[in-house]
Amino acid sequence: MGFRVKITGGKDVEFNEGIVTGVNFISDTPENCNARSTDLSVIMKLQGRINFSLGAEVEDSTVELANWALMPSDQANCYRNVEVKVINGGQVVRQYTYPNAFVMDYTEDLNDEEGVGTWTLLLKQKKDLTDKVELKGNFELS
Amino acid sequence: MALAFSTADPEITLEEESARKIIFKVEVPPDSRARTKDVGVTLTLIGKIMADTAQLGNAADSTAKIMEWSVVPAEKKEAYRSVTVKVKSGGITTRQYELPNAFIVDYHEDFESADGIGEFTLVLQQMKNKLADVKVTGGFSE
Repeated sequence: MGFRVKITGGKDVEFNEGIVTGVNFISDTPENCNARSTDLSVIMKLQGRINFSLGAEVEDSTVELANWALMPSDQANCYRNVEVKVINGGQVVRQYTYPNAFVMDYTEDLNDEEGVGTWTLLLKQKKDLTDKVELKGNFELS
Repeated sequence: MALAFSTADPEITLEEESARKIIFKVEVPPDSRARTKDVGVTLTLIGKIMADTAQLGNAADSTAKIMEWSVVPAEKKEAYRSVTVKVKSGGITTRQYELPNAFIVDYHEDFESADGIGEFTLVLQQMKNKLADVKVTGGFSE
């Protein structure tokens, strides 16, 4: 199972199977409701590695995630377009597109044992634009 | 033991191979001094997300339709669906849960690069003013 992530709208970055290690799609409404709530959040959690490039041959794009997370909310490109693909056996099992995603949480973990670092990115689609989220599943990889 | 999940209008069917675990829970407030009217019925379903690699582009399961249901806004009629879950064991339906007005409280999809398949968690509740319509039956043959 491989993951490809494309973030556009600021400095465009792309991550492939070698970087992304986990994808979580979360559709969340309050637990204490009597009926279906209008308070719907569409969340995405991404996890990956920070592969320090030998001799700085390849640019480490994960640093752009940290820059995005630090961006104040008065700037237009704190909202970005995020496309996540889950690929298995030549098939796109899932394709999630959040056109106005913002960072809720971003963590980088580095230690002296593993050799690579890890990052965790928690994103949410801007709530008034939740209906712009595009969810697709099970089509052939082109 | 095998689990089968289905909804009516629009129809979604998950066969035995994709459903993994079911939790049926009747909740009452723990601080009540006598029997309360505030009863909640929650059904949690955990299952697999698979790709059909033999037939590219075809889904091995209907989980993509549950994903679409999870973002249906509360104003729409389709936010409420009739859900049936059957637990089959030795040719007998040992349990059949029917929630005629179920809505999604939470829906998660989890993917790890180390796993070959994904996992979903679906949390459903019966509309609280229609609790009397919930049916739990069992011990009959097909």
